[in-house]
Amino acid sequence: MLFNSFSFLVFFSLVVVLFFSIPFRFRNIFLLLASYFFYMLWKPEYAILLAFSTISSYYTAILIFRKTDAEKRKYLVACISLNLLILFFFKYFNFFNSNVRTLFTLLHIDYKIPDILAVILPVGISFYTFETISYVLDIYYERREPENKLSTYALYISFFPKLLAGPIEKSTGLLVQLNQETSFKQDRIIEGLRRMLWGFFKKVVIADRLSVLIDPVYAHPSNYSGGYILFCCYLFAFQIYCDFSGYTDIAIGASKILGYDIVENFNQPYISKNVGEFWRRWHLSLSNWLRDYLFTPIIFKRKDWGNSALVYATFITFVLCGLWHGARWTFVIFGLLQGIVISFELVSKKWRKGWSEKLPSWIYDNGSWIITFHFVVLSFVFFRADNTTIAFEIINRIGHIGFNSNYLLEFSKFGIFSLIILLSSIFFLLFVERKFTPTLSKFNQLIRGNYLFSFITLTLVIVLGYFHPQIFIYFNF
Amino acid sequence: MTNQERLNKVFAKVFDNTNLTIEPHMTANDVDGWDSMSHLNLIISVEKEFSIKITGAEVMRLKNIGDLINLVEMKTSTK
Amino acid sequence: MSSLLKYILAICLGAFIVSYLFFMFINLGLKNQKNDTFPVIRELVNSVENHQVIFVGSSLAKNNINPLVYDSINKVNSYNFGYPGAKIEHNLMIIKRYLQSNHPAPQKIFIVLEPYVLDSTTEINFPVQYYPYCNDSTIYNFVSKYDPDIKLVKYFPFIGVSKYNDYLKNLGIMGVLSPNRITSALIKGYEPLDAGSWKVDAEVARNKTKQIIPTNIKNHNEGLKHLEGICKACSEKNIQLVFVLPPVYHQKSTVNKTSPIAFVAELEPLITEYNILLIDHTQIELSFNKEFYFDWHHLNSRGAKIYTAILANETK
Repeated sequence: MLFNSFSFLVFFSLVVVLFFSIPFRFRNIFLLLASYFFYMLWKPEYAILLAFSTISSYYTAILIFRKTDAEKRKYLVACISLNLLILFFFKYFNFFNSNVRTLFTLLHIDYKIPDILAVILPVGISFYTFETISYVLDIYYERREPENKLSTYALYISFFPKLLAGPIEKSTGLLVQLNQETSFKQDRIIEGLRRMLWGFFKKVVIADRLSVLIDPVYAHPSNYSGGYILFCCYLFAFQIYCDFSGYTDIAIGASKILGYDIVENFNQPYISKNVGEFWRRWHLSLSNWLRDYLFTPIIFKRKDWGNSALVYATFITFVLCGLWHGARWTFVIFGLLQGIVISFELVSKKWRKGWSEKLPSWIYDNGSWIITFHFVVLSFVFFRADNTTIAFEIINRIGHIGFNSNYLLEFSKFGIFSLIILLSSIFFLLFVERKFTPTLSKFNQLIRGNYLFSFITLTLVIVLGYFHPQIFIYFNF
Repeated sequence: MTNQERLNKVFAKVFDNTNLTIEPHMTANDVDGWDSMSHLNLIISVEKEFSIKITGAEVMRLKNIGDLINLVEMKTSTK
Repeated sequence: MSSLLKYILAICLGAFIVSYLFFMFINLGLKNQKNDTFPVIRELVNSVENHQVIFVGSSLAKNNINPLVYDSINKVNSYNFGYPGAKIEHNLMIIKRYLQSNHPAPQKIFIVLEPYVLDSTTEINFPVQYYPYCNDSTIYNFVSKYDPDIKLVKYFPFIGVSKYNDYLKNLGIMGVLSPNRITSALIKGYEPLDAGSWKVDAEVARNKTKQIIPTNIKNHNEGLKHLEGICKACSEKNIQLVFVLPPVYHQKSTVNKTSPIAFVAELEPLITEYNILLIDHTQIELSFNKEFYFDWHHLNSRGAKIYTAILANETK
């Protein structure tokens, strides 16, 4: 069930009404059932994986909590390896296998292990596996005590607004709230509705319209001129932002209506002045997870290496971050590019500070912003392209950019009218998120502004939305 | 000089801020510029200052400055 | 009133009113449009012009018959109501709707038939083109059978606009703001196809033809029922009905295989009962000449000109 579908509207309205009309002690169980129902509509058998991941981590956490230091580690390693193995099997086995086969063929060694046919990626697995791992690690690092009730913990993992594509919740966030009583608060619901509307706007007005423009370019880049491809690469930055942050807005808004605050995932990523900052503003819940459970443990394990530990940890973190998005070499390259640039930023801190003092601040700030944004746009080519051949073809064509009369023809094929809608919608997006913050929290104080904004957004969704169901990009990760 | 005062000196040096006064309840969010890089420098400097060894798992268990003070107390007293 | 209820009511009411007005605006423009099939449906519903002859059928009517050529030979006023992909039930709807409007009844109706047209309708080509007319009961009853979305649009017109894509919204806006700027490619409902001849290899063409004119005919009971409906409607108004089997490209060697004997046999009972004229053009000389085809069964504009002349002369 997609968020941008009519059936979700019906499902969610029913859940909200029932949720507030049943006594508090049944609410968690009710939401748990609703969440599993939501998940099983897609492919019922994969709910077993979700349940397994939940139960294994829940009991491991209890064991870790009770055992002595020496034994703790064994349980921790066993639980994490098992869950990662499942993730590996469904997400990476064929990729790994085919690369090993290529390697063996190059070495003229017979290789007989076949790919697993027809393996479908269980939607949301990358998200909930990371949540179960973080919970077990939190217990191991003594950051919290194990949750008492299995059902509450299971709801924390499967909570339907964030189940399919995040945000990746920490056990110190949502899980704590699930044990507290929530009440029916009208202001909260209005805030949640507004947030959901904004998410729908980003998804159906901007992202889906952009995908019509961009998909053909990435399918057959050789049919398009360099200038047009470059234009599409810039627009892809907005497509991916609107698609994913739109999804997150709907998830956060829906949770808010039910009375829970889940973590924010975006904070105006494209105003970043360096790539490190970009990752503190883009898909925050993943960056924070990687920082807390991967990057930091690595640097303290290797702290004797000094600054080399930082570079080493940065590379590992970002290559894995790339691979987390999918089993493709393009994602590895995407991760490596981030790793290279962030390592450079780490070691050049003093040198850059020197420049920032020498140059007028507007030159330095805008220069850093322009460089960062262009780097991000470039790295997104690898993020979006289905394989490295297409990615390099795109970069090659942009490299041979020239001016010819085909441009107008290419734009008119997409439709000047659509282009006008797109550019003005993007302008509206930037204006709103700049002026009223990406979480729209400033509307809480403006009663009339809130009415006006919600009315405009709803109207735009109905009048300008693309309503042929389009899947959210982050469902594939 | 108490351990906390010695620790305060280390903090002031790492974060390049002589006015910095640490309190047990403070966390990384309360100190400007406390990112992964300065966190690493901080732990290395603390190790040098008190001539102790802190393991990775021990670092991961620190929730606030108070935990760091306790850890230093424990390590220096058993030495 | 509670603040939540007030909020929901206010924004929904506001948004629905604006969306409804926008929907009406786009519909107004689409009804004015000279592009695509919009002029044809306007002619069907709104015009009071006197056509002595009308053509009905699928794209084999729409792209093959040029009313201007027919008019100049037979000195009448004719119109082409062919719709791409239209099956016989669609043709029935067109004829019914035409007879309901303020047009005087025509003297002759040509239906372009091929076996495919009698297959049962499963979906309608591009149903959105009928949405501006969702309040017209004949059109609505037919379209709603195969496209449930038109029900939503009729009963919840405030979300109707969400069914139009950018192209249609643009057409609608242009239709209101500058209805005369875009000149139509349509000539009295006829859509000319490029004059260039068909380049596909003859062997491929022959295989294609075999597939298209099947020797074993599908179950056409439902289709024949609708065809009978057309026959009845015409005989009530004393309209001469003509069945036309259009030329389909084939080579001389395949004539026997593509002969539509079985198909004609299906039509025979109706032809005798309602005194219908049958014109079989599947074997005429034109159909062996690739030069006149756009693809294996659509004539290009030169082919259509010649073919319409043949048809006009035969039905003087």
